[in-house]
Amino acid sequence: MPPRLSNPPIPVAFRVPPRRCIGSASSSLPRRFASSSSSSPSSASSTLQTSYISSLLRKADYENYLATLFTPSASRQAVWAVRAFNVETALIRENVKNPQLGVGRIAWWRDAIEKVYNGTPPVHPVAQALAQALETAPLSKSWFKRILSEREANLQDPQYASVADLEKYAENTASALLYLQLEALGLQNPQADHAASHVGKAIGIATILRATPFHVEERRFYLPSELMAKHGVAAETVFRSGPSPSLEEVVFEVATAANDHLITARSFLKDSPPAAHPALLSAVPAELYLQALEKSNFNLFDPKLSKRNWRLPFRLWSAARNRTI
Amino acid sequence: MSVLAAARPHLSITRLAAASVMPTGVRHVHRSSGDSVTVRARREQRLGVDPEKHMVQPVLDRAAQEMFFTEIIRTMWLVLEQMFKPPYTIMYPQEKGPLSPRFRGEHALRRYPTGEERCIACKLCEAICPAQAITIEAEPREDGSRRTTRYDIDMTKCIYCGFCQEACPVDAIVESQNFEFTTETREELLYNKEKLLANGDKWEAELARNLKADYLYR
Repeated sequence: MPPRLSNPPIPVAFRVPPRRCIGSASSSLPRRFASSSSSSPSSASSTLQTSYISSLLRKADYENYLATLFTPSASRQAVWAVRAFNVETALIRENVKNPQLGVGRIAWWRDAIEKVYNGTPPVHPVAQALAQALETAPLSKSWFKRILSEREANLQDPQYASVADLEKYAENTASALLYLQLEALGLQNPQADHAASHVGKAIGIATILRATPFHVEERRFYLPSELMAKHGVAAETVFRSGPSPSLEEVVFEVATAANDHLITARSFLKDSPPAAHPALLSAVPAELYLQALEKSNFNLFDPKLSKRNWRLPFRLWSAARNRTI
Repeated sequence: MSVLAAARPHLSITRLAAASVMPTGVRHVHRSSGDSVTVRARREQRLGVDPEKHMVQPVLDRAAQEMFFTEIIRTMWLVLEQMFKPPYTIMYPQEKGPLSPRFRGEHALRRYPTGEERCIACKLCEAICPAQAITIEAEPREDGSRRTTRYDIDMTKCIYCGFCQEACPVDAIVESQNFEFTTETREELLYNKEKLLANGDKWEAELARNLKADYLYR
């Protein structure tokens, strides 16, 4: 009996035209059914990129997607490409059970970045969007490499020794991403870089805090072991019994470090150019999370913390309007 | 030695007697005898216990009462309870049990929403496959992109470990929720690229839902 595969049916995905986003560069293109033979590769790939990347960001990184909507439309594609690169690499650890498999995927991305800079990007929407962004924005390769090597080190699930180690991780992932966003906005300004460094550290630490209940489910724990020892709580206790007053003390100290970085970033904000502000808007979701954490008395496992904050769009709008974070 | 003892027998006896009169010696002797008394008493007490005395009723009477009488009533109560509960049985082909979103079933190759296939022929899945069930041949297309000309999975070799979908950098090869793909012949289980792409088109909605991530954890 031969396999019944001679005529594959037209897939459902074909019939749904890709959703477009406000002000995307490709919004003037006509909708069409894509098929590999008839459509020209360039138009197909550009619609592919915009729809794929915007839906990826909306689905996996909604809060930062909202924040990137305030970037000027000329550089939004580049910012989205950078943020989509972040999503793709950040999801690797969650998608593999074995760190060795993750190392393979990181190596693939390292190759892909090399190829993007050589002008021959692999057929991946994010890589192609990055190649397109390179035509307009001077993105440095070193930041991509730094993000990839930090993510590769993070695959081994290290528990960070001190807050300084946690800050180094945040600097190499979240801050490096903000530097890339600043470059995508076409800026080279030391004050803006200072602000981005501190904002990135705050975002990175807040992300780790926010993800801790999820990590604990998988028996991973990243909060600094020095602070854990100081307050006499073991990671194993957290895995077994969850919240405890001594864990709240640890969380309080870590969250204070993040908040200090936000305060320092605000002091640099006055001197940085207004054009840099859209990149720094990612601080707003982190700040809202830290405020909610304070309200729930630094209990990471409070169910209120896992809810989406309905004030976020308004806060982002007012922050973009008043140029504050 | 014996000569010495015989030479002064009285002396040695008086010394021994004096030692036994000494207060320390007296206390020692008294205590040791007291210990042995309690141990002996306990042992006697234990030996004196008759296990049969605990049995108030004869064995057969007890067995009849516990096994035949109350057990029957308890079982009947259990049956009565079950009469008022919904049945556990699932009418399988019509009804299906719950499946985890991480369930690893039949393989599928996904496409992008534009219809372009995701697979870029990087061969990471072929390299990682512990059962060596995947065979890939690739060549560049006329537009320069690298694509597979052949993507075969031998489903009789596959051990459903899920390494292929974990290794895939573009989320192209995935294991779908489908576990009902029995065939009549072995040849039908040697999947080729068309079959895998057709699977992907068939299950795309579920696959996209299972791969959903709400929030970045890193």
